[in-house]
Amino acid sequence: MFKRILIANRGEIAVRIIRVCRELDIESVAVYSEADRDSLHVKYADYAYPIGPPPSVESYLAIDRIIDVAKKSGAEAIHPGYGFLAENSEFARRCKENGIVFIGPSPEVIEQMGDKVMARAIMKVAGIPVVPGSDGVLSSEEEVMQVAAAIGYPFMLKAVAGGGGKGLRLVRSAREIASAYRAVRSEAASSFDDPRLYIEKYLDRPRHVEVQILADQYGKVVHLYDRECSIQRRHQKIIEECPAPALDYKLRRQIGRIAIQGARAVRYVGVGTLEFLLDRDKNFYFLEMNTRLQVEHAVTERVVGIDLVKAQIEVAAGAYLPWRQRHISPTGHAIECRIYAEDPDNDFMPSPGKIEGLRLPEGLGVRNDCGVYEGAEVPIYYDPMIAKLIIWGENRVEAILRMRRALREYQVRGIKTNIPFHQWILRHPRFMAGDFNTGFIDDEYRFMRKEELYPHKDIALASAAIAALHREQERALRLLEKGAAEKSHWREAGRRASLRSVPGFSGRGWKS
Amino acid sequence: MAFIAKLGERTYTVEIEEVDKALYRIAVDGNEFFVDGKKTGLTNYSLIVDNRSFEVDVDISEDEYRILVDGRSYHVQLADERRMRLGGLQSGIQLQGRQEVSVPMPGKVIAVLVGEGDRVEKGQGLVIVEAMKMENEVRCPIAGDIQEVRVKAGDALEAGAVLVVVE
Repeated sequence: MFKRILIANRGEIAVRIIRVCRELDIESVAVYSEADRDSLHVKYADYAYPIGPPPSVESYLAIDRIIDVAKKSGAEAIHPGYGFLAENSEFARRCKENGIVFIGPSPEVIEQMGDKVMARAIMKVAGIPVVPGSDGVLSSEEEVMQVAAAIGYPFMLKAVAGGGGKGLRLVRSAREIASAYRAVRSEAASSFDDPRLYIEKYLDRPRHVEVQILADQYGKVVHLYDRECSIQRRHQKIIEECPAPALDYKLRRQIGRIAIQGARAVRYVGVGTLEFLLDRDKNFYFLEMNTRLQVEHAVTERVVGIDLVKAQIEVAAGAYLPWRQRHISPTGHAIECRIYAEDPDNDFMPSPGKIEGLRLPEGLGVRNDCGVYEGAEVPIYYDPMIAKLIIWGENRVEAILRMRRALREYQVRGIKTNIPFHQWILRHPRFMAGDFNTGFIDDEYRFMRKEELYPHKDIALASAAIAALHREQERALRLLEKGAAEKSHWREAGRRASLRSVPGFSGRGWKS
Repeated sequence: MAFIAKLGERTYTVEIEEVDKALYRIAVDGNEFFVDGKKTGLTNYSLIVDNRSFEVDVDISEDEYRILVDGRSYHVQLADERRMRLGGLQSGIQLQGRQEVSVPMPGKVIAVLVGEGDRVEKGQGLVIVEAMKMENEVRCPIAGDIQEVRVKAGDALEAGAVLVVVE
């Protein structure tokens, strides 16, 4: 086992990984940008090294600096977390060259799965259904037009290196091809430094289902069941569940088997996720494979009872997986709400700043993975996700009710968060019924009636009035104090004047 | 004391009188109720109304009150009734006339979607600003004409920077 691990990340995931290190008696090395000197992951770690200025390209994405710190600190392995360098094959390669273990799959696998066209081709060969689309890269508008004629409209024009909701456009008709082609190509070149494009048939509001894979270095692969992440806003997941409400028993077995097939096809090692889209007729199609730990891994952990980060570290250190597929069984239901520093009342604008107050929910079935603390500053440079709330219940309904309860206890002061937005989703009848898809928020949020948002209108107005009255009273008090202070100045001056006049009377006091 | 409060699309008259220590008589549009209201933190209040208990958080800036009750956020604009009668309607209450559209957070301008003299609808996108790794569309709070565009693509923004003036 490793003696020391460097965590090339920040926020809640860095804290999550450091916690496992503590449990395994591994020393943790944190890295931090200038904006993160006071961050929680720095406090939690055994060692901490500065790696540069706030912008991520100069710190958390600076491969050279991170490799330097790894060598300097004597770390034997690097855990990349998610985001930043987690799916950067160049980084994985550099770790290898420098004799440092990269906790994740090989650089070759990262590269293959990062190239969406190659990933589609590999999965197709392995017998896994993929979304109908182009078989290779398309390099002109004419080629796009040709393939589009074959697969039909509407379709998605996507960047080969795309991800995270960037580098894609919906094309509804032939007329839109020219402008979409230009837009995606320039976005792909500027955001991913790779202008290659491909197309996929557009599925109308599918559900997003994914399967968690765990594999050791000796060819053993198990799946840890599925998750559903259909509740998304602008292609960003906000609520995830395990197991997926979209799947029945038969589909669950089938998708699990298919996912293992896919992981075997690329000789996958470590923790990974195969994402699928599920259409209305319950056909599923491979979307992409994430060669890293996912943000939503905690819901799986809670339901199958396996610590994924621990398994990841052990596999990287050469351990054998101790489980067979039949040993792994899901218990109950887990839901995660991602807590973002953003203002749902103001178009979800990011809301960085100082956290003046923080009270996390507690009680049965509640897990907080939180990257901030009371008094911490949420910097403007990084992702607005500050924490995750993971709830377990005996079944989905219990989990939803418990989540509502926990969100009610959750208090963040000083910055705005999306907690009220989560409450709205968790009370929505379609969410309750499990009847939703990736179009849920677009379809429902604009119809949200303001009235239903204000069940405690009178209490809110009363509170505002009480607060305003207090403010008024404080203002009056300050004026009074100021007045009193001024008055006492007069009195003081008068007293001083009378004292000064005393010597004049000396020797002629009333006693004499 | 009496206040004019705006919540969502509606305006309410809220009267308040402290009848005892931390006991208030409150009337919302004439509907009267008693509130046992204790300040329990810097922004935290505990309210008991008819033996029902509420924990409330009040975040104040100028005349804007963000109130969190039961996990829901209520955005209330509150003005003293007397002041309003004396000074006419306050600009904070009614979104009319000249509006300076600003951003609450620092960021970078990705694109400006409108030009000076353009006619815009309420809710129309004006400027795309990148902050915290996300692109955010700043929308127009009112319908009107664009008087001034103060930023261009690539500009770095401070929190509170004015992007566009609409009238």
